[in-house]
Amino acid sequence: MADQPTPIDRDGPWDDMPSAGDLSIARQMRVKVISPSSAAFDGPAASVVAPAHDGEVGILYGHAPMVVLLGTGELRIHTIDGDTRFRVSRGFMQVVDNEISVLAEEVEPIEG
Amino acid sequence: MAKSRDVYRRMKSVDNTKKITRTMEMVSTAKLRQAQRRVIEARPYSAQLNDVIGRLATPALAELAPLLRQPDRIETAAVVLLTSNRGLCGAFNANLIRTATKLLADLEEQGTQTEFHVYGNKGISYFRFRGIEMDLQRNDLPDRAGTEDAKSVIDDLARRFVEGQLDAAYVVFAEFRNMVSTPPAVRQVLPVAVEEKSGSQPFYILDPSAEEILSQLVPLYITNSTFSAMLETAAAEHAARRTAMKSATDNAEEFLNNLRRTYNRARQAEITNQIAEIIGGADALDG
Repeated sequence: MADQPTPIDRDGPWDDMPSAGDLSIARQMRVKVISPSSAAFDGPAASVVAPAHDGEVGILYGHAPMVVLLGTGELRIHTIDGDTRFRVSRGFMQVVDNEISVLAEEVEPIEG
Repeated sequence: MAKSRDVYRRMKSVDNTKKITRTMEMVSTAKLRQAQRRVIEARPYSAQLNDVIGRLATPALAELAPLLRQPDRIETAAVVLLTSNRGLCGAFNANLIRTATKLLADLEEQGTQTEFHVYGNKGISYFRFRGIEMDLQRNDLPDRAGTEDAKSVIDDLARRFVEGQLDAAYVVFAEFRNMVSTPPAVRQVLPVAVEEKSGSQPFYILDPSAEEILSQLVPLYITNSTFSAMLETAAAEHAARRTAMKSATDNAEEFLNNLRRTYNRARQAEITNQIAEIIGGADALDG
Protein backbone atom coordinates (compact mmCIF):
# COMPACT_ATOMS: atom_id res chain seq x y z
CA MET A 1 0.00 0.00 0.00
CA ALA A 2 2.99 2.24 0.49
CA ASP A 3 3.12 3.61 -3.04
CA GLN A 4 -0.52 4.65 -3.04
CA PRO A 5 -1.42 7.50 -0.70
CA THR A 6 -4.72 7.02 1.08
CA PRO A 7 -7.02 9.99 0.63
CA ILE A 8 -8.13 10.96 4.12
CA ASP A 9 -11.22 13.01 4.72
CA ARG A 10 -10.15 15.09 7.72
CA ASP A 11 -13.69 16.15 8.48
CA GLY A 12 -14.97 12.63 8.24
CA PRO A 13 -15.22 9.80 10.71
CA TRP A 14 -11.46 9.75 11.27
CA ASP A 15 -11.72 12.41 13.97
CA ASP A 16 -13.25 10.08 16.48
CA MET A 17 -11.30 6.98 15.62
CA PRO A 18 -10.84 4.88 18.74
CA SER A 19 -7.57 3.82 20.21
CA ALA A 20 -6.61 0.38 19.01
CA GLY A 21 -7.04 -1.25 22.41
CA ASP A 22 -10.63 -0.54 23.33
CA LEU A 23 -12.99 -2.35 20.98
CA SER A 24 -16.20 -1.58 22.86
CA ILE A 25 -16.23 2.06 21.81
CA ALA A 26 -15.03 1.36 18.27
CA ARG A 27 -17.45 1.97 15.49
CA GLN A 28 -18.54 -1.26 13.90
CA MET A 29 -18.18 -2.19 10.28
CA ARG A 30 -20.12 -4.95 8.59
CA VAL A 31 -17.84 -7.78 7.58
CA LYS A 32 -18.69 -10.65 5.26
CA VAL A 33 -16.38 -13.54 4.48
CA ILE A 34 -17.64 -15.57 1.55
CA SER A 35 -16.36 -18.70 -0.14
CA PRO A 36 -17.87 -20.18 -3.33
CA SER A 37 -19.89 -22.69 -1.33
CA SER A 38 -21.01 -20.65 1.67
CA ALA A 39 -20.75 -17.54 3.79
CA ALA A 40 -18.18 -18.18 6.52
CA PHE A 41 -18.71 -14.99 8.51
CA ASP A 42 -21.24 -12.20 8.50
CA GLY A 43 -21.39 -9.70 11.31
CA PRO A 44 -20.08 -6.51 12.88
CA ALA A 45 -16.41 -6.00 13.61
CA ALA A 46 -14.19 -3.20 14.81
CA SER A 47 -11.21 -3.96 12.63
CA VAL A 48 -9.98 -6.44 10.07
CA VAL A 49 -6.47 -7.48 9.15
CA ALA A 50 -6.27 -9.20 5.80
CA PRO A 51 -3.38 -10.88 3.96
CA ALA A 52 -3.03 -8.74 0.86
CA HIS A 53 -0.92 -9.96 -2.04
CA ASP A 54 2.07 -7.94 -0.85
CA GLY A 55 1.67 -7.95 2.93
CA GLU A 56 -0.97 -7.46 5.57
CA VAL A 57 -3.48 -4.66 5.36
CA GLY A 58 -5.58 -3.41 8.27
CA ILE A 59 -8.99 -1.81 7.91
CA LEU A 60 -10.71 0.40 10.47
CA TYR A 61 -13.99 2.27 10.39
CA GLY A 62 -14.03 5.03 7.82
CA HIS A 63 -11.62 3.44 5.37
CA ALA A 64 -11.76 4.75 1.82
CA PRO A 65 -13.33 2.49 -0.82
CA MET A 66 -10.79 -0.11 -1.81
CA VAL A 67 -10.41 -3.30 -3.77
CA VAL A 68 -7.35 -5.29 -2.91
CA LEU A 69 -6.10 -8.63 -4.14
CA LEU A 70 -5.38 -11.13 -1.40
CA GLY A 71 -2.60 -13.63 -1.16
CA THR A 72 -2.57 -16.74 0.98
CA GLY A 73 -2.58 -16.14 4.70
CA GLU A 74 -4.46 -15.38 7.84
CA LEU A 75 -7.49 -13.11 7.95
CA ARG A 76 -8.17 -11.69 11.41
CA ILE A 77 -11.48 -10.14 12.34
CA HIS A 78 -11.58 -8.28 15.64
CA THR A 79 -15.04 -8.18 17.16
CA ILE A 80 -16.34 -7.30 20.59
CA ASP A 81 -16.70 -10.98 21.35
CA GLY A 82 -13.09 -11.70 20.47
CA ASP A 83 -11.12 -12.54 17.37
CA THR A 84 -12.14 -14.77 14.52
CA ARG A 85 -9.46 -16.08 12.24
CA PHE A 86 -9.58 -17.66 8.79
CA ARG A 87 -7.03 -19.05 6.43
CA VAL A 88 -7.81 -17.63 3.01
CA SER A 89 -6.29 -18.05 -0.40
CA ARG A 90 -7.00 -16.85 -3.92
CA GLY A 91 -9.38 -14.01 -3.29
CA PHE A 92 -9.90 -10.31 -2.86
CA MET A 93 -11.34 -7.83 -0.42
CA GLN A 94 -13.69 -5.00 -1.17
CA VAL A 95 -14.21 -2.10 1.22
CA VAL A 96 -17.02 0.33 0.55
CA ASP A 97 -19.18 2.38 2.94
CA ASN A 98 -17.84 0.55 5.99
CA GLU A 99 -18.82 -2.76 4.50
CA ILE A 100 -16.03 -5.22 4.02
CA SER A 101 -16.48 -8.23 1.78
CA VAL A 102 -13.76 -10.82 1.66
CA LEU A 103 -14.21 -13.29 -1.18
CA ALA A 104 -11.83 -16.18 -1.44
CA GLU A 105 -11.71 -19.44 -3.31
CA GLU A 106 -10.63 -21.16 -0.09
CA VAL A 107 -11.77 -20.12 3.36
CA GLU A 108 -10.97 -22.23 6.40
CA PRO A 109 -11.60 -21.22 9.99
CA ILE A 110 -8.60 -21.37 12.31
CA GLU A 111 -9.50 -22.70 15.75
CA GLY A 112 -8.28 -21.15 18.96
CA MET B 1 -62.21 -68.88 -9.60
CA ALA B 2 -58.60 -68.04 -10.42
CA LYS B 3 -59.43 -64.45 -11.28
CA SER B 4 -59.37 -63.02 -7.78
CA ARG B 5 -55.97 -64.56 -7.10
CA ASP B 6 -54.56 -63.03 -10.31
CA VAL B 7 -55.84 -59.62 -9.33
CA TYR B 8 -54.43 -60.10 -5.84
CA ARG B 9 -50.99 -60.93 -7.26
CA ARG B 10 -51.19 -57.81 -9.40
CA MET B 11 -52.07 -55.70 -6.37
CA LYS B 12 -49.04 -57.02 -4.50
CA SER B 13 -46.77 -56.07 -7.38
CA VAL B 14 -48.20 -52.56 -7.71
CA ASP B 15 -47.94 -52.11 -3.97
CA ASN B 16 -44.25 -53.07 -4.05
CA THR B 17 -43.60 -50.61 -6.85
CA LYS B 18 -45.39 -47.95 -4.88
CA LYS B 19 -43.16 -48.60 -1.88
CA ILE B 20 -40.09 -48.16 -4.07
CA THR B 21 -41.27 -44.94 -5.70
CA ARG B 22 -42.34 -43.48 -2.38
CA THR B 23 -38.93 -44.26 -0.88
CA MET B 24 -37.21 -42.67 -3.87
CA GLU B 25 -39.43 -39.65 -3.45
CA MET B 26 -38.39 -39.28 0.16
CA VAL B 27 -34.70 -39.78 -0.65
CA SER B 28 -34.95 -37.13 -3.36
CA THR B 29 -36.70 -34.76 -1.00
CA ALA B 30 -33.85 -35.05 1.48
CA LYS B 31 -31.20 -34.66 -1.23
CA LEU B 32 -33.10 -31.77 -2.76
CA ARG B 33 -33.10 -29.92 0.52
CA GLN B 34 -29.32 -30.20 0.75
CA ALA B 35 -28.78 -29.28 -2.87
CA GLN B 36 -31.10 -26.32 -2.54
CA ARG B 37 -29.19 -25.10 0.49
CA ARG B 38 -25.97 -25.32 -1.49
CA VAL B 39 -27.47 -23.28 -4.32
CA ILE B 40 -28.64 -20.58 -1.92
CA GLU B 41 -25.36 -20.47 0.00
CA ALA B 42 -23.41 -20.04 -3.21
CA ARG B 43 -25.40 -16.99 -4.28
CA PRO B 44 -23.66 -14.25 -2.21
CA TYR B 45 -20.29 -15.16 -3.71
CA SER B 46 -21.60 -14.93 -7.28
CA ALA B 47 -23.36 -11.65 -6.55
CA GLN B 48 -20.30 -10.07 -4.96
CA LEU B 49 -18.01 -11.27 -7.72
CA ASN B 50 -20.33 -9.88 -10.40
CA ASP B 51 -20.50 -6.60 -8.53
CA VAL B 52 -16.75 -6.11 -8.27
CA ILE B 53 -16.02 -7.16 -11.84
CA GLY B 54 -18.78 -4.85 -13.03
CA ARG B 55 -17.15 -1.97 -11.15
CA LEU B 56 -13.64 -2.64 -12.38
CA ALA B 57 -14.18 -3.69 -15.96
CA THR B 58 -14.18 -1.01 -18.62
CA PRO B 59 -14.00 -1.52 -22.37
CA ALA B 60 -10.43 -0.22 -22.30
CA LEU B 61 -9.41 -2.86 -19.80
CA ALA B 62 -11.18 -5.57 -21.76
CA GLU B 63 -8.61 -4.99 -24.49
CA LEU B 64 -5.82 -5.75 -22.05
CA ALA B 65 -7.14 -8.84 -20.30
CA PRO B 66 -7.06 -11.79 -22.69
CA LEU B 67 -9.87 -13.54 -20.85
CA LEU B 68 -12.15 -10.57 -21.42
CA ARG B 69 -11.56 -10.46 -25.16
CA GLN B 70 -14.76 -10.03 -27.16
CA PRO B 71 -14.44 -11.77 -30.53
CA ASP B 72 -16.03 -9.89 -33.45
CA ARG B 73 -17.31 -13.10 -34.94
CA ILE B 74 -17.80 -16.42 -33.26
CA GLU B 75 -15.98 -18.91 -35.47
CA THR B 76 -15.71 -21.80 -33.05
CA ALA B 77 -17.86 -22.47 -30.04
CA ALA B 78 -17.98 -25.16 -27.40
CA VAL B 79 -21.25 -26.42 -26.02
CA VAL B 80 -21.06 -28.03 -22.59
CA LEU B 81 -24.12 -30.09 -21.73
CA LEU B 82 -24.73 -31.09 -18.11
CA THR B 83 -27.03 -34.08 -17.64
CA SER B 84 -27.58 -36.46 -14.75
CA ASN B 85 -25.90 -39.80 -14.28
CA ARG B 86 -29.11 -41.47 -13.20
CA GLY B 87 -32.57 -41.68 -14.64
CA LEU B 88 -36.08 -41.84 -13.20
CA CYS B 89 -36.34 -38.08 -13.16
CA GLY B 90 -39.05 -37.46 -15.74
CA ALA B 91 -38.30 -35.21 -18.69
CA PHE B 92 -35.30 -33.62 -16.94
CA ASN B 93 -32.59 -35.02 -19.24
CA ALA B 94 -34.79 -34.96 -22.33
CA ASN B 95 -35.32 -31.21 -21.87
CA LEU B 96 -31.61 -30.56 -21.47
CA ILE B 97 -30.77 -32.69 -24.51
CA ARG B 98 -33.38 -30.90 -26.61
CA THR B 99 -32.01 -27.49 -25.59
CA ALA B 100 -28.43 -28.53 -26.40
CA THR B 101 -29.40 -30.01 -29.76
CA LYS B 102 -31.21 -26.81 -30.67
CA LEU B 103 -28.27 -24.66 -29.61
CA LEU B 104 -25.89 -26.76 -31.70
CA ALA B 105 -28.18 -26.50 -34.72
CA ASP B 106 -28.51 -22.72 -34.29
CA LEU B 107 -24.76 -22.26 -34.04
CA GLU B 108 -24.10 -24.40 -37.07
CA GLU B 109 -26.68 -22.45 -39.03
CA GLN B 110 -24.68 -19.31 -38.34
CA GLY B 111 -21.64 -21.07 -39.77
CA THR B 112 -19.99 -21.64 -36.41
CA GLN B 113 -17.70 -24.60 -35.88
CA THR B 114 -18.97 -26.41 -32.83
CA GLU B 115 -17.55 -28.83 -30.39
CA PHE B 116 -19.71 -30.76 -28.02
CA HIS B 117 -18.88 -31.74 -24.45
CA VAL B 118 -21.33 -34.01 -22.68
CA TYR B 119 -21.36 -34.63 -18.93
CA GLY B 120 -23.52 -37.31 -17.33
CA ASN B 121 -24.44 -40.84 -18.38
CA LYS B 122 -27.89 -39.91 -19.63
CA GLY B 123 -26.65 -37.40 -22.18
CA ILE B 124 -23.78 -39.64 -23.26
CA SER B 125 -25.95 -42.67 -23.90
CA TYR B 126 -28.51 -40.61 -25.80
CA PHE B 127 -26.02 -39.13 -28.21
CA ARG B 128 -24.14 -42.40 -28.53
CA PHE B 129 -27.40 -44.12 -29.47
CA ARG B 130 -28.20 -41.39 -31.99
CA GLY B 131 -24.73 -41.67 -33.46
CA ILE B 132 -23.98 -37.99 -32.81
CA GLU B 133 -20.32 -37.36 -32.25
CA MET B 134 -19.20 -35.93 -28.93
CA ASP B 135 -15.81 -34.29 -28.46
CA LEU B 136 -15.73 -35.05 -24.77
CA GLN B 137 -17.74 -37.43 -22.60
CA ARG B 138 -17.46 -37.51 -18.85
CA ASN B 139 -19.58 -39.10 -16.15
CA ASP B 140 -17.27 -38.64 -13.18
CA LEU B 141 -18.64 -35.40 -11.75
CA PRO B 142 -19.59 -36.12 -8.13
CA ASP B 143 -23.07 -35.53 -6.74
CA ARG B 144 -21.76 -32.76 -4.54
CA ALA B 145 -19.47 -30.95 -6.92
CA GLY B 146 -16.86 -28.50 -5.69
CA THR B 147 -15.10 -25.63 -7.39
CA GLU B 148 -12.30 -28.02 -8.35
CA ASP B 149 -14.79 -29.94 -10.47
CA ALA B 150 -15.99 -26.75 -12.11
CA LYS B 151 -12.37 -25.91 -12.90
CA SER B 152 -11.84 -29.27 -14.54
CA VAL B 153 -14.83 -28.53 -16.79
CA ILE B 154 -13.95 -25.02 -17.88
CA ASP B 155 -10.19 -24.50 -17.45
CA ASP B 156 -9.20 -26.13 -20.70
CA LEU B 157 -11.84 -24.18 -22.62
CA ALA B 158 -10.70 -20.92 -20.99
CA ARG B 159 -7.09 -21.64 -21.95
CA ARG B 160 -8.05 -22.22 -25.57
CA PHE B 161 -10.22 -19.10 -25.49
CA VAL B 162 -7.19 -17.07 -24.45
CA GLU B 163 -5.10 -18.67 -27.18
CA GLY B 164 -7.78 -17.76 -29.71
CA GLN B 165 -8.66 -21.31 -30.73
CA LEU B 166 -12.12 -20.89 -29.28
CA ASP B 167 -14.46 -17.91 -29.44
CA ALA B 168 -17.30 -18.92 -27.17
CA ALA B 169 -18.36 -21.47 -24.61
CA TYR B 170 -21.94 -22.21 -23.63
CA VAL B 171 -23.13 -24.31 -20.74
CA VAL B 172 -26.50 -26.00 -21.08
CA PHE B 173 -27.84 -26.60 -17.59
CA ALA B 174 -31.07 -26.78 -15.63
CA GLU B 175 -32.01 -23.57 -13.91
CA PHE B 176 -33.27 -24.10 -10.40
CA ARG B 177 -36.05 -21.55 -9.99
CA ASN B 178 -37.96 -23.40 -7.30
CA MET B 179 -39.07 -26.89 -6.33
CA VAL B 180 -41.36 -27.32 -9.32
CA SER B 181 -39.88 -25.09 -12.00
CA THR B 182 -36.52 -26.24 -13.33
CA PRO B 183 -36.40 -25.18 -16.96
CA PRO B 184 -33.36 -25.94 -19.13
CA ALA B 185 -31.23 -22.87 -19.79
CA VAL B 186 -28.14 -21.81 -21.72
CA ARG B 187 -25.42 -19.76 -20.05
CA GLN B 188 -22.74 -18.06 -22.09
CA VAL B 189 -19.61 -18.47 -19.99
CA LEU B 190 -17.18 -17.19 -22.63
CA PRO B 191 -16.75 -14.51 -23.80
CA VAL B 192 -17.52 -12.95 -20.45
CA ALA B 193 -20.50 -10.64 -20.65
CA VAL B 194 -19.64 -7.82 -18.27
CA GLU B 195 -22.49 -5.71 -17.03
CA GLU B 196 -20.99 -2.34 -16.40
CA LYS B 197 -22.18 -0.41 -13.42
CA SER B 198 -23.61 2.95 -14.34
CA GLY B 199 -24.09 5.96 -12.11
CA SER B 200 -21.73 7.46 -9.61
CA GLN B 201 -18.68 5.38 -8.84
CA PRO B 202 -16.91 5.75 -5.54
CA PHE B 203 -13.22 6.38 -5.92
CA TYR B 204 -11.55 3.05 -5.30
CA ILE B 205 -8.06 2.43 -4.10
CA LEU B 206 -6.89 -0.46 -6.24
CA ASP B 207 -4.06 -2.63 -5.14
CA PRO B 208 -2.53 -3.84 -7.41
CA SER B 209 -3.76 -2.23 -10.66
CA ALA B 210 -7.19 -2.89 -12.12
CA GLU B 211 -5.69 -5.04 -14.89
CA GLU B 212 -3.90 -7.25 -12.42
CA ILE B 213 -6.91 -7.60 -10.17
CA LEU B 214 -9.07 -8.45 -13.17
CA SER B 215 -6.61 -11.01 -14.45
CA GLN B 216 -7.02 -12.79 -11.11
CA LEU B 217 -10.74 -12.27 -10.77
CA VAL B 218 -11.94 -13.21 -14.22
CA PRO B 219 -10.78 -16.85 -13.90
CA LEU B 220 -12.63 -17.01 -10.56
CA TYR B 221 -15.66 -15.55 -12.28
CA ILE B 222 -15.59 -18.07 -15.12
CA THR B 223 -15.15 -20.97 -12.71
CA ASN B 224 -17.96 -19.64 -10.59
CA SER B 225 -20.45 -19.34 -13.43
CA THR B 226 -19.71 -22.96 -14.30
CA PHE B 227 -19.87 -23.99 -10.66
CA SER B 228 -23.24 -22.36 -10.06
CA ALA B 229 -24.62 -24.00 -13.21
CA MET B 230 -23.48 -27.35 -11.81
CA LEU B 231 -25.07 -26.68 -8.42
CA GLU B 232 -28.34 -25.62 -9.99
CA THR B 233 -28.41 -28.66 -12.26
CA ALA B 234 -27.82 -30.95 -9.27
CA ALA B 235 -30.66 -29.35 -7.33
CA ALA B 236 -32.92 -29.38 -10.39
CA GLU B 237 -32.22 -33.09 -10.91
CA HIS B 238 -33.40 -33.92 -7.41
CA ALA B 239 -36.43 -31.67 -7.82
CA ALA B 240 -37.32 -33.36 -11.11
CA ARG B 241 -36.84 -36.81 -9.62
CA ARG B 242 -38.96 -35.93 -6.62
CA THR B 243 -41.77 -34.70 -8.86
CA ALA B 244 -41.53 -37.78 -11.09
CA MET B 245 -41.53 -40.14 -8.12
CA LYS B 246 -44.39 -38.31 -6.48
CA SER B 247 -46.59 -38.68 -9.53
CA ALA B 248 -45.50 -42.32 -9.87
CA THR B 249 -46.57 -42.92 -6.26
CA ASP B 250 -49.87 -41.13 -6.86
CA ASN B 251 -50.50 -43.18 -10.00
CA ALA B 252 -49.69 -46.40 -8.18
CA GLU B 253 -52.16 -45.42 -5.46
CA GLU B 254 -54.89 -44.78 -8.01
CA PHE B 255 -54.10 -48.00 -9.86
CA LEU B 256 -54.20 -49.87 -6.59
CA ASN B 257 -57.65 -48.47 -5.78
CA ASN B 258 -58.98 -49.65 -9.14
CA LEU B 259 -57.44 -53.08 -8.64
CA ARG B 260 -58.90 -53.31 -5.15
CA ARG B 261 -62.34 -52.63 -6.56
CA THR B 262 -61.87 -55.29 -9.25
CA TYR B 263 -60.56 -57.70 -6.65
CA ASN B 264 -63.52 -57.17 -4.33
CA ARG B 265 -65.93 -57.61 -7.19
CA ALA B 266 -64.22 -60.82 -8.26
CA ARG B 267 -64.17 -62.10 -4.69
CA GLN B 268 -67.86 -61.26 -4.30
CA ALA B 269 -68.68 -63.05 -7.56
CA GLU B 270 -66.77 -66.09 -6.36
CA ILE B 271 -68.71 -66.20 -3.09
CA THR B 272 -72.02 -65.75 -4.90
CA ASN B 273 -71.00 -68.54 -7.21
CA GLN B 274 -70.12 -70.83 -4.34
CA ILE B 275 -73.39 -70.12 -2.52
CA ALA B 276 -75.28 -70.80 -5.72
CA GLU B 277 -73.45 -74.10 -6.06
CA ILE B 278 -74.14 -75.11 -2.47
CA ILE B 279 -77.81 -74.22 -2.74
CA GLY B 280 -77.96 -76.00 -6.08
CA GLY B 281 -76.31 -79.09 -4.47
CA ALA B 282 -78.71 -79.01 -1.47
CA ASP B 283 -81.68 -78.62 -3.78
CA ALA B 284 -80.50 -81.59 -5.78
CA LEU B 285 -80.25 -83.72 -2.59
CA ASP B 286 -83.70 -82.64 -1.41
CA GLY B 287 -85.28 -83.32 -4.73
